[in-house]
Order: sequence, then structure tokens, then C-alpha cells
Amino acid sequence: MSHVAIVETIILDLDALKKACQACGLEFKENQTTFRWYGKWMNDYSSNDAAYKSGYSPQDYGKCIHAIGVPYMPKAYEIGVVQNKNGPGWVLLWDFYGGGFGLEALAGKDCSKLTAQYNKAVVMQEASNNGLSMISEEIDAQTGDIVLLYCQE
Amino acid sequence: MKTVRVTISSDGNVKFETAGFTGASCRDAVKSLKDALGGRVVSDENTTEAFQTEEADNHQDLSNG
Repeated sequence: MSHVAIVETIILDLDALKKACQACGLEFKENQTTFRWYGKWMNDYSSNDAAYKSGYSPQDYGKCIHAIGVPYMPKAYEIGVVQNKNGPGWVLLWDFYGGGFGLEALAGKDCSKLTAQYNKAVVMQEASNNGLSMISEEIDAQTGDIVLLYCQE
Repeated sequence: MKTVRVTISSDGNVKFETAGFTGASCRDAVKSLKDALGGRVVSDENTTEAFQTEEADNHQDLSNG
């Protein structure tokens, strides 16, 4: 089935996205202009995060600027990095049906692992640019949240 | 010591907590971080210490005005 959804996080920094992919064990496929999905729109997935509801036509499903894939799993679906139609930056589209046949295990449900790592990479870069010094980096054992502590002289 | 604690949750939210800053300087400390995230933030909390200092400054401004 064709369950192409849009990820809520807007990507503004492709370098941070590349770092996030690496942290998740995903492969950033620069300039790959197609991403693997079911391959045919079955007019089936219509939840609020369905990509077409944000203006991405099912006719364009599978098209992208860059792609993100699972190494050594040629049948796994991929994530498409697509120009944001509603503002600056890029959005992530993906077919999550069947866990994307291995993709969701690395990217997380709703791509949550990938977006958390993206947010972390953005914060770390911007903190460095602004003279903040990292004191510690921890994972909250109960929630799994990433906790970064900085100090400013 | 001025500190910024950043909590990145798996639901995509990012929370900032600042301590040791006075007045609006705590907002300045995290503004660029929030901008870089593209507004996907979030919640923004200041310590009591920061608010008390700001209130004290405001009271002083009023008394002088």
C-alpha cells in the first residue's frame, strides 16, 4: 500500500541532516532524485500527515532532490528530501507502510530518531557558533530524550 | 555560571532552560538556537533566579521613574 507521509520537522541545514543520518546508521544519498516507495498511488492513505495534504501531489511521489536509504538493504524504502513547498528549506517524505521494510527501524516511528538527531546536530553547530561550551551530553534513561548542557562564560 | 540546558525529545520538540542569566539576556542566549531550528521549538523556561532579577530591575526602574 502507498502510505506516503510528510515528516513534521522542516530541514534548514543539510549538513546537520547528513550528520543525523550517520548517527542513525542511514545513508545520505546526495543528488539521488528518486526515493523508493510502494511505487503506485493507491489512493489509500489520507491521515493528516499524508504528503498530498501538504501540497505534494501523488504524481510526484518518489521524486526528490536527495534521498536517505538503509545501507545493505536494497528492498528497504527510502526517505525523499524534497523542496519545502510552504516555506524555506526541505521536507522529508517517506512511505512508512510495513515499517518501510527496514527503514523505520533506523529512522524511528514518524522518523523521530532521525529528526531528534537532526535537532541535536543543529543545536550543537549553532551553540558552537555562539561560543557556548558543552558541559555534558546525556540520554534520559526514562524518556530517551537527548539532554545537552552548555555554559556561557 | 550561566547555563543553557537543551532537551531534545523524540516527538520533535526541543525545550530550552536557562539559568544564571539576568533579564532578557536569557532570551538572547537561546534565540539563535531557536532560529536555527526553524521554529519547531518548543518550550522555553527560565529559572526563578532570572525572573527575580528581572523583576528587581523593573521595580528599580519604576522607583526611579
